[in-house]
Amino acid sequence: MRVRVKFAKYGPMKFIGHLELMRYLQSAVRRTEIPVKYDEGMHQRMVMSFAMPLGVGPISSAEYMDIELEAPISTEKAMQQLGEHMCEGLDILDFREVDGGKRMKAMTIVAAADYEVWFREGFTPDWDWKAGLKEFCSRESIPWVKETKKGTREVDMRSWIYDWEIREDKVYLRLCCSVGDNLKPEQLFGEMFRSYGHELPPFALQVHRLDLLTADEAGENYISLGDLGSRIP
Amino acid sequence: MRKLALSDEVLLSVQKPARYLGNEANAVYKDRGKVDIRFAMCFPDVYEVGMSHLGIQILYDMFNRREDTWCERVYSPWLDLDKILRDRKIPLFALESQDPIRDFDFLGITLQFELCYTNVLQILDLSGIPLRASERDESFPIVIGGGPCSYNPEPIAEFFDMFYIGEGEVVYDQLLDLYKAMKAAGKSRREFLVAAASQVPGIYVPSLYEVTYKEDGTIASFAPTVPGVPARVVKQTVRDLDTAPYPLHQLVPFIQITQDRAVVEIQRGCIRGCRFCQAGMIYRPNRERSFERLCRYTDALIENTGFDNFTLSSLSSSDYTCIKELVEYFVDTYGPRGTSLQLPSLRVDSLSLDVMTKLHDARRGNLTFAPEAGSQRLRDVINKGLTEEEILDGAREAFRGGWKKVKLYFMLGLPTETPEDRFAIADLANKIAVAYFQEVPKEKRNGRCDITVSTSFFVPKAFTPLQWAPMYTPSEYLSFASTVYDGIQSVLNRRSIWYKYHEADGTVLEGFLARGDRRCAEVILEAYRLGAMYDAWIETWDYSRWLKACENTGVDMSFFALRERSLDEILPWDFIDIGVTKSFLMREWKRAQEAVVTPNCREQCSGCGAARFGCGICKRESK
Repeated sequence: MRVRVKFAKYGPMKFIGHLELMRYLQSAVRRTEIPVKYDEGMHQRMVMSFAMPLGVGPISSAEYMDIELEAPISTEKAMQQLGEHMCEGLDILDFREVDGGKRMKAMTIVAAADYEVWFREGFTPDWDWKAGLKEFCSRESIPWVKETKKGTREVDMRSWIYDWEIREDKVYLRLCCSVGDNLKPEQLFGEMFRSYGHELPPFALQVHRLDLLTADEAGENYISLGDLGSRIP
Repeated sequence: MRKLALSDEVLLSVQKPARYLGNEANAVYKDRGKVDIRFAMCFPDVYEVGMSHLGIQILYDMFNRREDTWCERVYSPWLDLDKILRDRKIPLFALESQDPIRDFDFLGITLQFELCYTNVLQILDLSGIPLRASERDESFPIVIGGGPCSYNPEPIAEFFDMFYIGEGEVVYDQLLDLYKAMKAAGKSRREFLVAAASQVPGIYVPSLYEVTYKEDGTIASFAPTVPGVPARVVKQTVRDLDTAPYPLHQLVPFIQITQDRAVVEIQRGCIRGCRFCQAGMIYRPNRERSFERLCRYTDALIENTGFDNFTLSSLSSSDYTCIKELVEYFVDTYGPRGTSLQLPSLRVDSLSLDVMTKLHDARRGNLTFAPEAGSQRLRDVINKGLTEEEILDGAREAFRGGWKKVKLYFMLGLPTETPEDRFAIADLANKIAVAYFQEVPKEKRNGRCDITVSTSFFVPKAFTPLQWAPMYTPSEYLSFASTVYDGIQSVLNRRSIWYKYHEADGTVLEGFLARGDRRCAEVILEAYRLGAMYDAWIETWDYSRWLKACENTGVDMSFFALRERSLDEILPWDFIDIGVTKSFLMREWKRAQEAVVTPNCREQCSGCGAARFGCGICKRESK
């Protein structure tokens, strides 16, 4: 039985990297009575995968972790037990049974991410970045050389910007976010700054991931990963 | 939500920001307005090392059981943050509340090894606390030291307001009660220090004692200057481990630490009486926790921490009476869940191999022997009750059991050691390789066996029978190591043997700090001013700073480090009473020089003096 756990990560937890978060959640699950499944290898590992790792720095209102259960446990009970073991900056938001199909893991189906982005105190640029962003996102195409683990890859960044909006001092973004193709807000801002002859200073942006989404069957609409599946009675 | 002491920018620019956040599972949070005592517990090394230490977890748990006390943690900021804190004048803070250490009532520093002394100064300095206790006024925390190095606290006495000599579980409550009462009554810092030194056993307040020296530089007298303050400070010993508090909600760090597992302390002290070993003397008598209690602790720790990895903590753990039952209980109960168990310092005999086979299944890692000396004569000198036959039998059995990697630990520079003893190391390693080829038939061999010989240089420590022994210069040490190297190159199976040896400069510094007296403080201060910090780390280790510090202060390092002491000399740590008597240590020193072995505590009581505590093995044997 596959279960998708939705949680928020913020406050001091934004400085905790993905591997450390995984370690934390594994030990937290072991502190509960949730009958979680382990793999069969020599070092038995908890079967656990994440929709999309969040790096060090950003905060998130909706992270998703898939685990497998040996036996069912109610959403209410599991959330209460996990909740008791969460530290400051981690909140368990949901615990749902989801499609256990091989290709239905959160990490496989995730297609887009919603973000809210703003400049940290003391990092607001002294030039009209909003006008810059408007112009940048209105371009027909944005050729971009993406650095990947294997080298570089030429892509059109514009095709990965699904939606955007300036909301006072914050920017809302819906960006492509999947195992193969992925655009981070920092990369978008970095390119935008560069195209105006500026350099985005390190640590300037605070990124807040609002949600992770998957495409519907037609590939036209995006649905929150949190809307899939159902609560366990 | 807590406000962090460091800005996002700082936290994002240092390595491993998780070192500075607190927030780990089982960290304790309290309302700062509702406690009377704020205690900052410090391990003066980087987070990953400090978090691995059981002693702090014991005291953290014990203090926080008190409603009136909030105990928090602080570790040495790594070099990157150290620089930022200095440049931006950000005061060092405790992990839980993120409040400056300077505002605490106590700063407790555990002293686990001598090379952390400059980090003690780093902690004080970054906290904004004057380095010398004499310069602290009422507004500063009481700085209290503890741990193994406090058995010779003299080189760092000037930096501490007090030391707690002994095991923390015994009189800390009494000390905190006294502090609370005197604080409420508006008493001064000095009044508290005098009251603690005179009323609480085991508390040593260096400023209340005066030392005078003879013309030859040795100590002439050591005495309290205030009436009521005891001339001798008695080590505090837990009588019954079963009723002593034990932390069952151990901290679970986010980042991987050096000992990344839950810890179950199975016993304290050791029956063996190796003459070089300080722990073997200062933690006498050997006391065990009952098997039933340990099973309960294990269950609770698994439930409370979610660790999937455990370690038993003890000296010479195969001497624990129920070791086999305990390992069986663990393997049967938690093995199926994939929880693993580590055992420290096992003697390699059939019992231990049986136990290890249970633990590791098919995996065969390194097998470690610690003969400590190459020849039987020298092993008798140090009372390492291990014969060559036992070592070879253990090795044969291990090879039959599928192990092929063996690590051997030795010390060089032991008293009475000759070149023959050093050659004997190579000889022993060769015999183990021969045992492999004899024991494992050709068709079952998967290449050669792999024998690693590691040598460190012996450092005489306070309260050991070898505390009077001489040390050597770095170049002499290196020549000892090269004898071993030449020896290994000359044996038949040299291609199966690897040789590693320890740093020689660091050894001499360790010896200087281990047997130094109050006059060494100036050197430590000067070395710190010259930039010494994290002396136990290769990244930062620089012996030349220490040589320069000795030169600048006019202190002769060899006087403290190298000199053989005479039996009638007053040693800087003689004022501490560890139960084991000086006359026993002298007897043992004499027997060492004659290469006579002393039986272990289980075989026969040798009258070391620890029976006075009336507990543990002393009690069992006297019945």
